[in-house]
Amino acid sequence: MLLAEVQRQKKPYGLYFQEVTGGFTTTARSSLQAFKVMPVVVYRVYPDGRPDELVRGADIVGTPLASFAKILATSDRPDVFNGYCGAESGTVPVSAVSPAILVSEIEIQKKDKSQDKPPLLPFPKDAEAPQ
Amino acid sequence: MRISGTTAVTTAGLLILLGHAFAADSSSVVLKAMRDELRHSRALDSVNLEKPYFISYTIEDAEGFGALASLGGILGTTDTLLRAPRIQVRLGDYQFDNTNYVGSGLNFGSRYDIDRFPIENSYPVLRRYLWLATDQVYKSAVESLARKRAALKNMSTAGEPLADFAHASPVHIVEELATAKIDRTAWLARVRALSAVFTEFPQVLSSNVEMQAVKNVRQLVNSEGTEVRTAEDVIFVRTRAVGQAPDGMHVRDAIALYSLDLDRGLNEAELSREVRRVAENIAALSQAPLGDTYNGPVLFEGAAAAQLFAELLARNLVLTRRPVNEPGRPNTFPSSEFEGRKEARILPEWIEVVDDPTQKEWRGRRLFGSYRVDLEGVEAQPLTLVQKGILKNFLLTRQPVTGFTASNGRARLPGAFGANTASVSNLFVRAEKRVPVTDLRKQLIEICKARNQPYGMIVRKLDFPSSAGMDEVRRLMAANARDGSGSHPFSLPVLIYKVYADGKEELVRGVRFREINARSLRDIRAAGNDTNVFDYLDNGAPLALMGASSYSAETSVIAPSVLIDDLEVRKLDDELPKLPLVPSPLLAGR
Repeated sequence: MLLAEVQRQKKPYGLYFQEVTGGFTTTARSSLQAFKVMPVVVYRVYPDGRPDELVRGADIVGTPLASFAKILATSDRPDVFNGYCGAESGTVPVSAVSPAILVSEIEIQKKDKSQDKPPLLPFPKDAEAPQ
Repeated sequence: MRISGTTAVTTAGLLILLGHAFAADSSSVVLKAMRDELRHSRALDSVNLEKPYFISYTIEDAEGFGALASLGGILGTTDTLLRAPRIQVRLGDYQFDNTNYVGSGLNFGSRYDIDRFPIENSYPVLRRYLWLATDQVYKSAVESLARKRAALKNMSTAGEPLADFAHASPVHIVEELATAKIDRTAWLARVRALSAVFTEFPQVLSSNVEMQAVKNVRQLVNSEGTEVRTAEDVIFVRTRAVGQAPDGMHVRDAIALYSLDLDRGLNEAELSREVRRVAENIAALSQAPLGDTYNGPVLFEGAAAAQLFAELLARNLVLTRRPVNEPGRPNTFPSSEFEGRKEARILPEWIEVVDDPTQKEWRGRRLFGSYRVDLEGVEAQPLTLVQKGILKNFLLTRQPVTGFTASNGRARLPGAFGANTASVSNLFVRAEKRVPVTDLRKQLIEICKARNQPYGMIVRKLDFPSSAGMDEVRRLMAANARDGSGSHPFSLPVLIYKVYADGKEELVRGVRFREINARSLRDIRAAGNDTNVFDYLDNGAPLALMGASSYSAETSVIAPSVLIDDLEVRKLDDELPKLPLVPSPLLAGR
């Protein structure tokens, strides 16, 4: 269904989110009505039969109500996400149970990127076998 | 680090492992890993950034147990087991490097999750952690050096600049590891019993007894060839109690007993005697009358004399260097009152002061401030600080300060801006002219009589290290600032007495000293023939406030009682809280 939708919308690829680490939303009247979800494992899925491609550095953003309206289909297998939900009063343990969902349109933004360099020296190879 | 609940089970398991590993002396694996990673880090020379001229690795292991009890019940226990690294990379050269700048020591580099190292002595894991830690510190150092150069281009500096790092000869000291064990069950029973003493005293509003025992192992390797492993055990029992006088004023007292010997260091009889004394002091203080404004001679007797020297002398023997700052930002760092006063008279000419970490015992009593080698791997020697009343030297680290270019092995606390902070070890205050303490009291009374003063004052205990809460410290600082006593607060007297012409003494409460500072020491009129050993943990905070810092240096001050002229005592002018609305249930039956 994802591939069919990609072809219908004439997009080069679709996105398959396998795992997210969490997210947050602001729904207070004084602030933006928006949410952000930080995925961990994301694949690009190509309609032309190329293998799926693992990508990094993408966050899901959007406005809650508009996003819910774009759910096209759900799977028949619910799954559980356990986590802590933070609020003014502290954190409480929560569980969310949901089937997989197919969304017709979702906004992705690039993750905040640091200017950090990888380690300057290579891993100490001699460390693996103590003399 | 506090571990509670189910994780404590795992910790106990690890402790056994660790104990076993230590017994087999495999913690030399740590030294080897540090040595080898130091060699690996030489490749940083060819990274095309700044070249390191000095790298040092310190790994500190701590295994500790603590318990807190009140009124015969345990309030909580803590188990500590951790290995913390301290890594230094210096770029440039001894004359000019990345330290002594306001940004030195900040992390500008990569963020790896390496604040704590694994406690197991696994060579490959240690190498991996050291490798990443070096990378992080090196990158920060490159950034600091660039920022420091930029900051200096924006300011004019007068005079010959101080070097940034002092040379030191390499040392090789690998101590045997201590094998003493902390008997948790016995200590729980002991603090429970000690804390129960307060149940007999309805005047005490709140009280607790705390014990902590820590086994420390410090291992240091640096690129100059120094290799050090020192082992140190510290145990202490601390009691605090608070009562309330009929006018609502809170009265506080505390005592701490320290030892470097986990097994036999603290004597049970002495502990219970001292804890009981705290309770008795609170009972007496809550009934004591308020003190008055007083100007005149004050006798610091017993422990109070050693506390006085710890507070006025010890702290000021440390010079603080101001870091290179960003232009336009305030550069206010507390400095020593003795700065620039080398070769000046700071004490009467019959007093000499020596700091001696090599002395382990004094008249059969083990000294708390003894050590062989400091945090920077510099061996410590006895040091004459004051000779015939003249200030001769300061406590120095490898951070050069005005007038001094070499360390004398006193780096005892981690400091700021890439340096360490100095502290005293065993500070001996010796007087050539000595009189019996009873004669000091007579002298005090005579001076008062000659001046037509109705009474003199004797201090037998100061609140040092202070058990005050942050609120109280703030009030004390504010009061100091109001009456011009300067920014260095001085501890409140806990046991201060009026002594009348006939020798009668009266305990008073609710007073503080005004304008007492290092200069007051020049007004010492006489010293006793007694010697008082006072042990404490110096954490570099004002009043050595208990619990203000996680790092502390073991310290002993050995001093005679002293009579000081021309001190000012003022009433505390705090607002007083109300008494409990319903009196203590313990008083009901009386």
